[in-house]
Amino acid sequence: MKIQSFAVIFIIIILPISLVFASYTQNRVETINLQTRYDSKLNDATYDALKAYQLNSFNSDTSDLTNAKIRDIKASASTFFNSMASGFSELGYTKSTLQNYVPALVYTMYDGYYIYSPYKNTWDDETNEKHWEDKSYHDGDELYGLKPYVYYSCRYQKLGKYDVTITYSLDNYIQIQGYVVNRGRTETISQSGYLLSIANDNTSDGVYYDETSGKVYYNGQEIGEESSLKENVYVDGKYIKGCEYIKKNGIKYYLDKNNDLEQSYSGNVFSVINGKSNIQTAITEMEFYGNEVGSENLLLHDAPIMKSVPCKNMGTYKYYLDFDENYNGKSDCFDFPCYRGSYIIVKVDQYNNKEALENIEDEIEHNTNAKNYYIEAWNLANFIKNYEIDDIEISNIVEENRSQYTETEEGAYHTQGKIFNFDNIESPTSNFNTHRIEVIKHSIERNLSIAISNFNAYSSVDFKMPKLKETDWDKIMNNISIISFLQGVNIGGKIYNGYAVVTNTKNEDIVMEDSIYIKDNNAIFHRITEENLPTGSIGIYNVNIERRTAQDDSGNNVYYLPVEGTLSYDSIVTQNKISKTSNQTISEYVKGLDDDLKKLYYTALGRERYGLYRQKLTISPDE
Amino acid sequence: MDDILISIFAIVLSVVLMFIFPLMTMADRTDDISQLTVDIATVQFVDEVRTTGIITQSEYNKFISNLGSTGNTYNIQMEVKIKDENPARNMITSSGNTDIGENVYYSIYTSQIMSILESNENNGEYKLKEGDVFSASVNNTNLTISQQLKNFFYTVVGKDTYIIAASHAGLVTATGI
Repeated sequence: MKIQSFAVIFIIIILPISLVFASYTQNRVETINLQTRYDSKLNDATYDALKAYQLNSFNSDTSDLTNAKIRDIKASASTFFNSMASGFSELGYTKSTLQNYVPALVYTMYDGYYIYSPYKNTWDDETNEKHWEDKSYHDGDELYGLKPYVYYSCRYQKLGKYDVTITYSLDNYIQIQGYVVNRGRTETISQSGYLLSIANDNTSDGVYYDETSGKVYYNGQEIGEESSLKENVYVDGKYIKGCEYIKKNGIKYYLDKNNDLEQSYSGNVFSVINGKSNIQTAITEMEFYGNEVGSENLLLHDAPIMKSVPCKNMGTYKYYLDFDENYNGKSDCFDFPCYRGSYIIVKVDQYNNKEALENIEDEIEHNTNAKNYYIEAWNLANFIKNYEIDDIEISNIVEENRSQYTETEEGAYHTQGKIFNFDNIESPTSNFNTHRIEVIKHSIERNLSIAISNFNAYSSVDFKMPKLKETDWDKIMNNISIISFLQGVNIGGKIYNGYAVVTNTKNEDIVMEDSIYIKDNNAIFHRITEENLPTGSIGIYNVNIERRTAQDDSGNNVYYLPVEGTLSYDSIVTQNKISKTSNQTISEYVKGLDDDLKKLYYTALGRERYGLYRQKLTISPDE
Repeated sequence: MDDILISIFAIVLSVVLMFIFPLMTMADRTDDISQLTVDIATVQFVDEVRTTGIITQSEYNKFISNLGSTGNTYNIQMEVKIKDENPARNMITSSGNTDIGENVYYSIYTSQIMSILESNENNGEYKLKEGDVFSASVNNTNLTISQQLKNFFYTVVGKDTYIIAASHAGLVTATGI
């Protein structure tokens, strides 16, 4: 055969192979490109959802209440699907089309989580009959929505001693509910608080509360009261600068010292709901006059006797109208100014003891949130010790199927020894923290895999729960976050199966150790970990320096900053001058700082944590 | 005489077809694979930085070794656009404003980032915050076999004649702690 023929045969053989090979490689390249592009887009859509949640919760005064939270999460989920629709135009533009590919969205919150996924609407016969003909929902409907909140909780039982459920959170806050046997009697308990180490004296690490002197120490620093914290607020279309306030149970109470609001008296306390003031004196002068029960002579502490003071009972309080300004300037009796027309609120049962109730005005001027935080921790630790709940180990766990937990290699819990070992309870490697993470992880994994496998009932694609990486779990444990899943999209020869985890570092649900900034005397905010940090004036919660929106009188949106100041270029705008080493925790780092800084930091951390809204479940066996 | 010429031509043609053509095709495919590896490595590196908020020395080394596995040398350019909210904050002053001030971004580049990663300061980590923008672009600096072969037939000259390149950028979604 001639050499030319060889060449021709060679071409005939090689050319198709080469073409097929080229097109195959090209295909793979496109698939993998598409996959990485989808990963990025999913991440971006999740971030958009998170940003929506952040903005909504910052600009709402009720964002910490459960129903408002559900509203914010639903809005955030809508944002997610809108963002997906613009990013994944290949899949379709509507939310319902996209929902076919999203088996679940998980919102991990402070002490539990929501799963946004499809479910079957089930009604019992009674509900079914009650509803009228043209009802919009039916029994057996497949709906897409938020499932009930699941707490990060675990049940522990030791026969003859206790049967309690402990709810954990993303930090050291716990709630304990259940029964304990105390001196032969079964008692119902319900206790909550932050867990901190306990010190034996006022110089060692941990909390030390001297009940006789009323002083409380943390890591050797005395935590005292703070006077008059100030913040700017926009209320009733009016901007009040430097208004004194206190945050209690998630609500900020402001003191209207200069009579800035039209309908309040100076010295009144108000809170803000949707830009409108809500004045805290529960009655107006009109109401008072309509219902006064008479007048009484009033003697409070060592103040001069007040004769024939008009008074009125309202609930557990008795209101007196101080017309004669008897209390004006009597700051040794009352720390709040009491002007003409002010109401003095006296608790009825305490009135007999001639003792005035400390009211919120006093608390604003002498903020004891920080002190209370550490006292609460002290009391909780003593409670746990006194009721011998501190001997809980993983062998006491009662599983979902009500059987006692036995440790196996595949089991969810592996912590050895006592969970509430107070010696090093704050360390990230303590038994408490290791176990807390096990509980959170197990709870999320379990419910999420159920939600995803249930999704198969609604979809033609076979969904599988992807395994989350350890680094992703780290993010989830660090702050509230959103986990999104996208599955079943054809990306050419492969089916896409991806997820994204985005953490929310600015929110009002949690105060992390790095959420406290130090404001120095030049109104510059610094991270506590900044090198050569100047002595500060106050510790500020980082959420309070974020911009807020409000509406002025004519309905225009205006922007204001609750706390004004400049962000440090060394530790906030960039983090170029951080002296904390990467294997050090912030609390370990703070221990090595100057006493003044330590005190500022511990006080701010305690104050902000104590002021957060915490849902407290009270179990009262008598009711 | 004609036969000899044709034979010589045929031999040359055969050599081209049987050796150089497959070699070029294979070299092209190798570059395709390299392109793919570089694409994936870049996207993974940038996304890792975006979601954690930290550029670490180990993450960067992993990126380099992923790129190195293709057998080529690369030029890596990184840029961080740092968001500075202070000018926008300063616009909102005493009475609340109806205008939102604009955030300002300023950039720092590869050499500045590398000097921090390589120094002992900040533990070899460069930390970003939520709202910054991170981007990385990569292109090959050596001549790949396919480029050399192509140069043999038709010379491609110029300094920036790279054929493997990838870039990815995005908003940083978490503050590095």
